[in-house]
Amino acid sequence: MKGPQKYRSKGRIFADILRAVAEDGPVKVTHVLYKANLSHDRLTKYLQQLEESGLISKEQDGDRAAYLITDKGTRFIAEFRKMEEFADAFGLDI
Amino acid sequence: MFPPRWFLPYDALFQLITALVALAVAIYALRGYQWIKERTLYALFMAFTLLSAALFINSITLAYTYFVGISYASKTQEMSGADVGFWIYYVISIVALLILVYAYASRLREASVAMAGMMLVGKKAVGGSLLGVAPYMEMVLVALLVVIMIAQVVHLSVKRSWYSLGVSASFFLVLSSHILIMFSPVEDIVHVAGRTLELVGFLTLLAVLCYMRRGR
Repeated sequence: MKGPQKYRSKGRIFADILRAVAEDGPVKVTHVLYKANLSHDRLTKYLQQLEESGLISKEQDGDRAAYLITDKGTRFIAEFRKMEEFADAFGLDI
Repeated sequence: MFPPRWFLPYDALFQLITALVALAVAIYALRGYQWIKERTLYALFMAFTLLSAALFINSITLAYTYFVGISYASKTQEMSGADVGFWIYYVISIVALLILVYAYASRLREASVAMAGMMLVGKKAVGGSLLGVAPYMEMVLVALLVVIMIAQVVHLSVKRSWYSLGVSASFFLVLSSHILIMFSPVEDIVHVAGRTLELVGFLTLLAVLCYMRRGR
């Protein structure tokens, strides 16, 4: 049986999506969907926000879109990891 | 409650150093907030910015009392510049620690423990005999630090890392320092020991921050 789902902040969801995109190169939405554990609607919304923030870029391949992480996105993951550690040192979650 | 006169310049210097350390922590949290936009980081930024401001004001007040030569023995009805400085220091410090407690209560896994701890400390503060010998403001600071310390200890029992051990040690030292300062009317040296512990506590926090920045 699955335990109660832990609350994920927006920053953590962004980091999860970016990690999925960074680990496997140009990825399709279905791949991120599986890795980031999100519904299709929510993922579409977040992908759009990430693209607008310049953290990922979109490549159109015919009907299908693939996503790539940008330098800014890589930096975001690094900063998130640091801040996760920082907050954790204070016994706090981000 | 007040430091011995010979210690005033050192006290002012100690407070200035702790203010700078608190500012460094605030800047680190702000940098993270600018990237991640997380409320927890904003709370840490606000708490440490206010703490830094309070410590800076206290440092200036202590330097002022030393140079102006205010005597603590004389009791006047009017509020002196030093009184105003000390009051501002206490009020801002309490607000800063309240923000930290709020961050724990709203985000922390062990929120219920922290709140229970606060209630316990509150009851003790009201009924305890310490009120007769120590200023109320210092007691409030101690109560808030106890809440933070309880949350830290519970967190350590769940997840242990060198960083969280360092931060817990620093909070413990700061808490011990305020307890000592509360009892400083007993003996001058108690105040000196308290301020020294506070400085060591903040320097421990700085060491944790430096290791973290370097990425181990």
